Amino acid sequence: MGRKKSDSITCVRKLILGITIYIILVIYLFPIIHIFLASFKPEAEIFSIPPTILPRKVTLEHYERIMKVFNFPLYLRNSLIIAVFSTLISVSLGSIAAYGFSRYKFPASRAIFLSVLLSRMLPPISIAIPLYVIFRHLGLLDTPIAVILGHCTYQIPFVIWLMKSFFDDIPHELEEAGLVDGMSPFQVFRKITLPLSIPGLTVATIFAFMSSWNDLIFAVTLTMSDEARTIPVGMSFLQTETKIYWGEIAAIGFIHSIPLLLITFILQKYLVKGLTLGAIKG
Amino acid sequence: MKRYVYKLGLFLTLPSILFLLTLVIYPLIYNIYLSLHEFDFIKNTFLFTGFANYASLLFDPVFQRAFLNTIIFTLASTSLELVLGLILAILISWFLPFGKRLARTLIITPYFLAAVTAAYTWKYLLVPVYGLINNLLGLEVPWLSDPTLALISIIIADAWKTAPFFFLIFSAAIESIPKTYIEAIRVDGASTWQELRYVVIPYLIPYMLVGLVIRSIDAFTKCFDIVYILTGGGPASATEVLPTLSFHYMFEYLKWGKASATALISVITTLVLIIIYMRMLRRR
Repeated sequence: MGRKKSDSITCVRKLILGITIYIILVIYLFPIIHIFLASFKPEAEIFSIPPTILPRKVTLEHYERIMKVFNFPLYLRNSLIIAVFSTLISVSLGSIAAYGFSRYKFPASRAIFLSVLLSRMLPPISIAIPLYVIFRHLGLLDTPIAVILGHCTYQIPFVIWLMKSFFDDIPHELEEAGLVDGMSPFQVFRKITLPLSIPGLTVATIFAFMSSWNDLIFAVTLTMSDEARTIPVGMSFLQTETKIYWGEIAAIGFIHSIPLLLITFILQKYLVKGLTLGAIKG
Repeated sequence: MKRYVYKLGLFLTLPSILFLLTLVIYPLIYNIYLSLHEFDFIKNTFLFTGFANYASLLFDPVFQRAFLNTIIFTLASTSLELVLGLILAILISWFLPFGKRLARTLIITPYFLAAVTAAYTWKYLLVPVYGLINNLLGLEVPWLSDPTLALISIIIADAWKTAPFFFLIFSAAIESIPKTYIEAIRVDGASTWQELRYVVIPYLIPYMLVGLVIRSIDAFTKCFDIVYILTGGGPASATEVLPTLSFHYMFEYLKWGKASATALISVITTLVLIIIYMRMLRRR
């Protein structure tokens, strides 16, 4: 009897503890909820005092306006083109290089590898500014190509680092067995290494895509008109000296975040490794 | 075991190396060239000015302010993130009795939002008249137009966004604490507080160091977005950080040389930081 009673006490305590922690969590996430709800509020309600939490009247006017007035479809197109192509380039070049760094030694290979890491740590502005001057000279400014190349400058070092740590984890005995069986190094790569590195490639692809999708600094530096502007740049223009277009900002922010939220949900298992470039195994 | 087949190794890495040479190393060197010149828009040429840009920066109060702000931002936001991430990780990985997976998924969302979205999220909370924070607290504080408060607001917004980084590292670490450690101290009759104090926190210290190294370099070099959206460096340059200042020199004052010099000073500072960290890590 006594045991049963204490069991139910711990049960209630656990329930209270759990609920308290979830309340803290909701408070932590509340800023996001608050702004996303703003995307459904009429203009007058957004500026009302005191502010409302739940929309008193639900409207889709901001979603309509970003489509018709604010060039969102163009930004979306540019963001997609830039993110897809920069990711394709950086994952293909970077993962091949990572394989080279993981498996072979060549003169100064370690020094080169370390400078690749170093180049990822540099302030992006120190690349973006000279790139602006160079691209201006080449007539590349304000084109998606300029932004794609700009994004590759930090995606490639990232992919090399991440993929090298994935390749290092694949036992080389497997590859040697393939060589002993008379496969060529290329066959070994295609039939043994590549299938084993698919999780790594997926993570690298998604992280590279996300960094391009979220970038502001390269996109804002290297573009001048809506023809090449990405979603974050478009959003940055929704505040002027006199007005901030909250409803539109919230609507664009919401749409822009959907792929990000889906990705984090799918990638949970690999997040730690991706974020610390393999320095910590998650 | 690595084989010394350097032709193949070089062949595989060459495309990336060439790319980085032309689009990272060359721009960096070009940056040095730019910083020693000033672009003349009328003649459309570069005029050699020697170290004039650096000299004028060093005595420029706006530059000094920006440099100091970047350091303050780095130190304050990184340590705040660490504390916040630690609290969240302990709450969820140590105390939460159910629904851990869901809680973990939810908590990392701020980190994966675009910095622009996260910055606007906070700007919306902090607006003076119709903002939620002032209305909840019954205040009329100009969060983003008071010089000191604006920097503090930027730091808080960044800490909120980036705390999940530490949360992820710490919760992965907490899950990996060997059961025997905890059982050993429980047998000795330790309280929950003592378990945290003598087992969990000491176990997390190496993870804290790695996290601090990664994050502080990131905070120092990538603080552009959040400042650009929240205050644009204002009021009156009070919250300017090195990347935004460089951007403003470039596109507002059209001083390419000064912009490059500012960017280069932040590169040099980053390298100094990295060298200090490498020394520290080697000693351990």
